[in-house]
Amino acid sequence: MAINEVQGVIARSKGAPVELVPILVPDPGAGEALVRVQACGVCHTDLHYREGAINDDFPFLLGHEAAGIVEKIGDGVSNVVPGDFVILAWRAPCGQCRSCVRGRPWYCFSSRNAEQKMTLADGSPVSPALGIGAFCDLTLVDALQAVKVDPAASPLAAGLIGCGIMAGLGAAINTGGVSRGDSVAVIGCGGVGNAAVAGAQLAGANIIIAVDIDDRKLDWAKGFGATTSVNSTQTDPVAAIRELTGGNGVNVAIEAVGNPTTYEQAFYARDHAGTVVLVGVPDPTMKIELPLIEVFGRGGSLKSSWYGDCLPTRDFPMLIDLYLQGRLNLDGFVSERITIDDVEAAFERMGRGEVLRSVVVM
Amino acid sequence: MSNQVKGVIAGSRGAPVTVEDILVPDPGPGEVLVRVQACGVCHTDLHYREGAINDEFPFLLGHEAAGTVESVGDGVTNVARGDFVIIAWRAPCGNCRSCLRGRPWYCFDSMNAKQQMTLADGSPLSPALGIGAFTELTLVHSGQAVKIDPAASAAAAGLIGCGVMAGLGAAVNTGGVTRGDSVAVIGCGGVGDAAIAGSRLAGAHTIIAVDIDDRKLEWAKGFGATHTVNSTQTDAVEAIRELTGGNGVDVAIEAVGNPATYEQAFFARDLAGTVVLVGVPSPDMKIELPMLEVFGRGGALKSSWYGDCLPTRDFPMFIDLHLQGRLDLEAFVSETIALGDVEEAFHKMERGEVLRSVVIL
Repeated sequence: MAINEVQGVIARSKGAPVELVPILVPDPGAGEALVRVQACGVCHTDLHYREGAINDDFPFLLGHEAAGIVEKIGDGVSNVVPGDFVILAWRAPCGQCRSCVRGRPWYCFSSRNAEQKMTLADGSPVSPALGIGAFCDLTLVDALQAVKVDPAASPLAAGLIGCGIMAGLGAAINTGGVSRGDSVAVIGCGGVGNAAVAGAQLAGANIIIAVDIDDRKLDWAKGFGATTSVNSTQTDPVAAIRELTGGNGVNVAIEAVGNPTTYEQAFYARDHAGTVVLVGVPDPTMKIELPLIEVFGRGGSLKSSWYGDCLPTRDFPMLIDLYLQGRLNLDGFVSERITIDDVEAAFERMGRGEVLRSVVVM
Repeated sequence: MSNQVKGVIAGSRGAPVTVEDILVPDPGPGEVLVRVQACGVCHTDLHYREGAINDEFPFLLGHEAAGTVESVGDGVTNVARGDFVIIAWRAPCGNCRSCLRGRPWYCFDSMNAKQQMTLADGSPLSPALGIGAFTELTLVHSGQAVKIDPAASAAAAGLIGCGVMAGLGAAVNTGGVTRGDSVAVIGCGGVGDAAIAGSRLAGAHTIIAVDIDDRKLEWAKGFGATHTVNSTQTDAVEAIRELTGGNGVDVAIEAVGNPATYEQAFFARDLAGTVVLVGVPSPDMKIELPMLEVFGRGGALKSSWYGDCLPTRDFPMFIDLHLQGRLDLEAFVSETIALGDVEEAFHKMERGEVLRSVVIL
């Protein structure tokens, strides 16, 4: 079986700048697919991996928000063939865990991944980010992680559905259950938050309030469908949200920052019996403290959203089709195209809030 | 016209309740006069006495009742004299943003009688939860009187008017418990046991009752608990995980109203599981959780007022299931008492000796 030598971006040790190094990618074994990556977004989770905030399994092969073409498939693979245009998913329902067998594959606890390892040139294994590893010319995944979508879609836009944009869209539509006539607030208007704004618009929400500390992000949010915006450095966001909703608060408050202060804002910005959706990823030191009587009295639901509670086989093709119909602006998330040796600088731009998404074009 | 009857009054914060003469007007437009047959003693009545709800003494207590319609005011069409009814403290108004958008169980403006019941000297009473049913006659909005099958005993039926509905609904409405689910109920008083009964009715596979009192755990088994855990003897979260193959439960119902038990419910869940808070906390309590756990464990943290019930839909349904023998409501009636026994019943409730004391009028 052939081993393919390509270039890939790794995080070698905690906090160290990423490096572009040779990666050995095996041809696909049974149930696996080799995918030629066309584009891969730079997502905050890649930075978390570099920081050792996910776990300690260095070195990491980064990148996980990607689209490309199936190069080869292993034995027994029937969902894709070479030449198919696919988005890579980090949720590939296993079919056997207690979530899958009870009919809730979007909660699968045992997502499928490639058996064989990708390695450094010396043969030592790399840990692929979110079971993918796509800042790399070729990547090896379980075939079910490759979700076929309409090839008319630009890979730069499509790849973003592989992680952050799906997370935001799904936070609104799946987890939040946003529906026509609802009022929604999105706190934190980066890539994920703006995707939640876009999802709320797609779902027919009447009022979509974007909240951020950065006017530029608020402008972008309006482009994705926010009906109004609130700069929380200038005004109390909870008071502003209530004022914009006849004093009542919103039906769904989406927190796309991952921070106790903004979580509290989302909690209090709701109408009675409203829903909070936490989609921003907190760090391990953060604690939420709330008066228990408020938790009881305000009713509703405090939820959290992993990957937008998506089912990739259902959601990826659907969203790409809506994009191709002109009803979902994915191109608007692509702030810049970069090359594979630009990832470290892209992390810095992301940290400074200058981009929604930098996308590596292979 | 005014009717003079006896009623149980909380005159001032913390003072023992007393039985007094009260004046109950005949029903005006949209109102009904109900002759109360039975009314349960619920913890919320005690909260009113303690001033924990608000300051609007004197309160006419009692709100978990069944009886017969004595007379109706102009324009009332949903009930007639002689109808056997459970009194509801949620009567959807039809005009608020919840009602208009098709979610009357979240109505923000429940209808109540316009006219006030008063003490003998004419000073107005605040009726508990807009009802006031430790009394021979009570005046409510007609929307609060929900007609049910008169074959049910008043003592059992009245409990659907509050605590038992709250527990049943916490499981089947708010928690969405369905066949095959695993459920834990923490706190097995009247509301908790009702959550167990609701889970059983909904087809839950595993129903774990958790309490600090073995006697309550025995009662819980009677309502359908498949397993019991005494949390003074064993770590409740560990025990629940062990009983569910290491995974935790799909739905964890907290029927105490306390940060420690809420935390247990939070951690006793399977991934993507639901917490339902139905126990009423006191205003000083705070819950603190690691935010990464809130994110990582997924699911939903919910709370349940009145079991998110829609009385017109749920009361007749549960009474019919009871009459079919599929829901034991009599078992919640620990004792029947008289109007003058309410104060003593509060003490028994605090000592955890009863699920429900029911005043029979």
